[in-house]
Amino acid sequence: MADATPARSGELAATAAAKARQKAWFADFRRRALEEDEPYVIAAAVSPHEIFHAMDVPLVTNTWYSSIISAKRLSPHYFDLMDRLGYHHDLPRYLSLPLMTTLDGDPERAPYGGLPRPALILDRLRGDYAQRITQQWADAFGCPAFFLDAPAQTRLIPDWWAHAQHDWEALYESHRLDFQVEQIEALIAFAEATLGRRLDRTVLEEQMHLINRAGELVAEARDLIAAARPCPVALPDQLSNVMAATWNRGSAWSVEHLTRYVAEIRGRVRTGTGICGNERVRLLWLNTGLWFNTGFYRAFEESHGAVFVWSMYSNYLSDGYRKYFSGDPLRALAARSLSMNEQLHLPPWMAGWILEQARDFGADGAVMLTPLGDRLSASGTRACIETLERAGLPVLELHASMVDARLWDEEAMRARVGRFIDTRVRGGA
Amino acid sequence: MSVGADGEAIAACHHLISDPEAPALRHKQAGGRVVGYLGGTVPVEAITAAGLFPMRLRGQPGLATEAADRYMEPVREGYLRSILARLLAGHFDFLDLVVMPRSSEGLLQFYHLVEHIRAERPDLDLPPFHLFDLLQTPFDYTARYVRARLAELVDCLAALAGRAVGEAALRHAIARHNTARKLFGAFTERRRERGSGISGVDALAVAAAGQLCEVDTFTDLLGRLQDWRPEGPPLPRLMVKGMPQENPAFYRAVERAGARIVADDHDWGERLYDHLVGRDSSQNDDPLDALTTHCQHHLPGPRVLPQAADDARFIAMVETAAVDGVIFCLEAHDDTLGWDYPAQRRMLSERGVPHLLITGRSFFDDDRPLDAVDRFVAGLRGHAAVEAGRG
Repeated sequence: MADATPARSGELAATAAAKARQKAWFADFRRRALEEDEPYVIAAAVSPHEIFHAMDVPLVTNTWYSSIISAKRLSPHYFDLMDRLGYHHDLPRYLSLPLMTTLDGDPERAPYGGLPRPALILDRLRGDYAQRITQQWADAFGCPAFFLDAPAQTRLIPDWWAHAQHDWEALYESHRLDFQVEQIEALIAFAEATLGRRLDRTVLEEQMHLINRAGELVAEARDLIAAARPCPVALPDQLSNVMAATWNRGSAWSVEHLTRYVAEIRGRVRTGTGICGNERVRLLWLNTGLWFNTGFYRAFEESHGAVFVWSMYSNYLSDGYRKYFSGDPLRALAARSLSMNEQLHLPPWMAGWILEQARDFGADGAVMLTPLGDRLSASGTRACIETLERAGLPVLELHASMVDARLWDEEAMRARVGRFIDTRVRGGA
Repeated sequence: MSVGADGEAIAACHHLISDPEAPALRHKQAGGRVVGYLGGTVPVEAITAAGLFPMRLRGQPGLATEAADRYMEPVREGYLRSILARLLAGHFDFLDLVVMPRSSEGLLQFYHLVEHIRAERPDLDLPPFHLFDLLQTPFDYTARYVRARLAELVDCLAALAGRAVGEAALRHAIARHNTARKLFGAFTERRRERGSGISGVDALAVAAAGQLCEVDTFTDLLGRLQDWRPEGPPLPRLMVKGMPQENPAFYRAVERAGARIVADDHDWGERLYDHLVGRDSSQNDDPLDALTTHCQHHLPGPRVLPQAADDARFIAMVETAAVDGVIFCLEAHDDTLGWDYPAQRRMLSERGVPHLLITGRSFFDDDRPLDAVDRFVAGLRGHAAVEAGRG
C-alpha cells in the first residue's frame, strides 16, 4: 500500500493515503479489466455495488469515467459528436460522455483507450433518461443492461437521518423494501449467470457490517469537525477521505483508513489547529460537488475568513449508508440504495438534513451549486432554498456546467461568493 | 366543413377545452365527488368504477406562474409549473382527491413538492393527493408490485366514494371505457381517410374532451361524431410526436402552414385510447390484472421499457397513418425524449419519411407561425407535387 505518500502542507496525511488508495484501485482495475480482459461491470453511482464487491468483480461507475473525460478536457470533442449524431443541445451531458466514447469508436482519443466491453451495465432508474443512455451504451457494446426500477416513497417522515440507520423498515416503507429485495435477488441471479461466479452471502454480510463500522467512524469525524472551532479539516480533505471510503466500502481498508482519519482530526482538535487562521464565517456547500475545481472551496479563507465546513459528501456515508441489521443482509442492502436521491434532493428531506448540519456546524450561510442544462439535478433546489432562507440560513445559488470546465468563470464566481459573504452572511468582512 | 348536429359535437369538444373544469364543477355542485389526475397513465376506470368524476388537470398558458416559481425551477416542465400555479391560486380547491401516477420523474417530483408545500403552508387548502406508484419495467415482479399499488388506489377511491369497488364494478367501468375507445378508434380511422377534412386541432379537442368529462358523456359525443365527415383538400399528412400537446397552439401553427396532422404520438392525443383494456371479448379477466397491464405497457409515458418496442410501435403508427412527415416537438430543457430521436430519425430515413425536429418549445408559447415548420411543410407540398407529377 502506497500510504507513505507525503502529505501536502495543511492537508491531512490521511488525504494522501486516500488518494494513493484510489490510484491503487485504478491500477488494479486497469490490470484486471483493461489488460487481462477480466469480466467487469459498469454501474450507476447509486446502485448496490456491494453485490459485485462481494463477488470480487471489478466495477467502475459511469460517473467516474465521466469525470476522467472532463478532467482530460475531452468533453468538447464528445459534445461535437453528440451534435453530429442528432442528440440535441438541451440533453444532460454529464452521464452521456462515456456512451460517446464508445459511439466514437476511437480508442486512441478516449481516456485509457476507452472502456472495453463490460459483462453488464447496471443502472437504477431514478430519472427518465438513464434507461435510454444505458440501453444505448449496452447496445453499442453488445452487452446486457440490467435495470433496477425506482419505487417511490409515498411519505417523507421528517428527520430521515434519525431513522435511517435503525428504523429503516418504517422509513423506507415495507412494500418498497419487498420489491427492492426482489429486484436485487434478480440482479444476483443475472450477475451470477452472466459472470459465472457465485455470490458468497457470508462475505456480503461481513462487508455490510464493515460498512456500518465505516459509517460510525465518519459520524465520529463529522461530530469532531462540527464542534471544533476553528474548523480542523478543509472540505477537499473531507471529500477525499470519505469518498475513498465510500467507493471502497465493505473493505477492511475503509475501516482502517477512517480510523486513521478520525485520529488525525482528533489530534488537530486537541491542539486547536485550524485550516484558516482568521476564521470568521462558516459556510455549507450544497448540492453537486465542484469536482473540477475543489480549490474553490478554500478561496475565501484569506480574503474573508470564510471556511466551507460541510458538504453532503462529508457524512452521507454515516447518515445514509449505515443500515444495521441482523440476519439477512439483502434487506439492509435494499434499504441503502432505495432512497438515496430522495434524501439528498427532495426538498423536505434535503432541507431538513441541511438545517441539521447548519445548526451543528454553526454555519452562517450556504452556497448551492445547480448544474446547468440538467433538469433532474436542478429539481428540488428552488424549494430547498426557499425553506433554508425561511429558516434563516442565507443561500447563494450558483449555476455551472459540470462537464465543461472552460465555462467556469473563476473571477466572476469568486466575486459573487465574496459579495454574498459581505452582504448577506453574518460576520462578513 | 359540414355543420349540424354532428358539427355541434365537435363544437362541444372545443368548448370543453376552453372551459375544462366546467363539467366537473357541475358534477360537484350537484353533490358528486371529483377526482383530478395528472398525466396520461392513471387508470380512470377505477375512478369511474367508484362512481367518482375523473378530470385530468390542465395548465393555463396565459396565467402567471410567480407563485409556483418560488418552488419550481424554470427548467421544469411548463405544464407542471402552470398546474402548480393554478393549484396555489385555489383553482383546484373543489377537488376531493388528486391521483398522481409515478410515470415520469416530473410527476413524482411534483407529488413530493405538493406535499412539501402542504406541510409548510397549512393556510393553503390543497386537495389531498394519492400517489399511484406506477412502474413500467417489463418484469413479473414489477407487475406484481404495480397490481398491489393499483389495489391500494382502488381502496382509496372506495373510501372516498363510501362504497365498495368490487370486480363487477371494475369490469363494468372497463367495458364503458372500452366502448369509448372503440368509438375513438373509429373516429381516428375517419380522421386518417384520404379526403378527410378532420383537422389535427379538432382531433386534439376530441381526445382532450375524453379527459375532462365522464365516460358516458364522451361516448355520447363520439357517437354523435360518427356522422361528422368533413371533407378537405389534400394536404401533407403529418404526425406530431414528443412533448405533451395539452393546448392546441402548436397544432394550429402547424396546420396554418398548410398541413394536416393525422396522427399524434404524445400523451394528450390518440394514444390515450388506442388500446382496449384487457381482452374485449372476455368477462373473465381479472380486472386488476388487465388494468395493470394496460397502465404498464399501453399508456403513453416516458419510462416504458424496452425502448426498442416503443420505437417499433412508433414506426407501425407512421405506416398505418401513412404520414408524409413527422414533426418531433420537444420542450425546452427536455432531458428525456431527445435521447430517442437519433434512432427514430434513422428509422424514418430508412423508410423515406421526412421529419423535422423542433426543440426549445414551451408550454407557454402561442400559435404564431414557426419558420422551420413553414419550410418543412412547403417542402412536403413540393415533394407531393413532384410525386403527383410522376403519377
